Amino acid sequence: MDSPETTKLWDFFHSKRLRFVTSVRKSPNSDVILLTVAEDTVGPTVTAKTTSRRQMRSLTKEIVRDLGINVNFIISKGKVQEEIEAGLNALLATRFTGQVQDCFVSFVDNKVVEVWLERVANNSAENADAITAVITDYLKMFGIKLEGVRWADSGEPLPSTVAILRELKTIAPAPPSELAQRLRDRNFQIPSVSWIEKKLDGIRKQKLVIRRSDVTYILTEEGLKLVPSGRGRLGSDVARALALGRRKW
Amino acid sequence: MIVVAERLSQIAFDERIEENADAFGRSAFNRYYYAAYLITRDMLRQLDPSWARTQHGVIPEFLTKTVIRRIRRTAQQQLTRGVLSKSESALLRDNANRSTTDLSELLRDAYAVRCIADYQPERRILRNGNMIRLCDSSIEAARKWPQRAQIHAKTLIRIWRQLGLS
Repeated sequence: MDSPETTKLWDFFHSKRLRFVTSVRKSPNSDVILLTVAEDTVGPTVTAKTTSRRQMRSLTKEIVRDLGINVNFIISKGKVQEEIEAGLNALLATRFTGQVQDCFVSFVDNKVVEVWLERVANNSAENADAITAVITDYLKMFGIKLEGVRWADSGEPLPSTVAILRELKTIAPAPPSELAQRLRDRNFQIPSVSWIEKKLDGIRKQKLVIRRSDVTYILTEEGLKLVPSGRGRLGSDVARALALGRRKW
Repeated sequence: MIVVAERLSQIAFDERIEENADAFGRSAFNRYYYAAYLITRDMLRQLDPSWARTQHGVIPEFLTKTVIRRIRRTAQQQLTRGVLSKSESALLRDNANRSTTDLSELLRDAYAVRCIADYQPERRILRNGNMIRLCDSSIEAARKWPQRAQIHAKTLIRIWRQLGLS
């Protein structure tokens, strides 16, 4: 049965005559609604039957603003995408053992992807070219072009455990999607909400955060101890107090 | 600030009268130094607002002592508590050491050149073809001061955030 949120979203799309969304479903682990769009309806520009990444980004903001619902657009490659990602993970784990911790494939359009790599240690920097070459060859077999490889330490970094705890301390209790946005605002790279969910799960197992029944997260006492309180208005205690003040008013 | 420095150095290149070229040239060195200094000061403000008014002369030592001490201490605490791995901690500390040392040396050298530019008019700017020099420093090297400062500032801010310090 459709939830009130999904009904609202379907009405929203019908009223705007947007026909490219094929399914609307609630994410099992968060309050984010996942909107599926078939890959062949994503193009560089918007037409009567196609959308673009830019339009999806602007719709995401519009839906939060007008309907108060957090959504994530998923470009559906179905099983193929999952298999490409799993295959790439296995390939990198075998060829570059102990160097690449994880990889994520993000489709720029039908035939072009960006690959996000999370390094285990710094030693993979010297193999960066070799890793890129292996990924390029691998994707070629699927007829897919590699737009680029994004390393965790180039440009905006992926957040460390303490960086995640610090932002969570400020806004807790918070769902993963809100935390992801908060971290992005602080110039951290967040590949996807599912990435942060995975991270939070790991942190939860370290007993530094608790996942509540409403799928929001809060810090444990141990987690709180780990966040440096800092000084002045940039200190985490002050940031927390200000965030609470903003929430109240 | 960088735009002003670029323009001043161009005028110094083009100027026919030696005395004018000297005046514009030394002002260009001064502006390049201030560009690097302001980038560093802004970085310090982002790290800790109480550091925003750190004096020019003490910044190099401040970077290699106070800033690095805070990073090392926090990294060590997080390593002990198991939220930072040995390799992550070593990498952060190594990057922090590299950046603070290089930025510190850069500011020290640039500050010395700036003091000569401002207070020792008897030491003249030398022009040779496309080269402008003041003592041991070329205007080309001075042009890179702000860029280098920016790279190190970004690195240190990133380390600071990764450690949850701001």
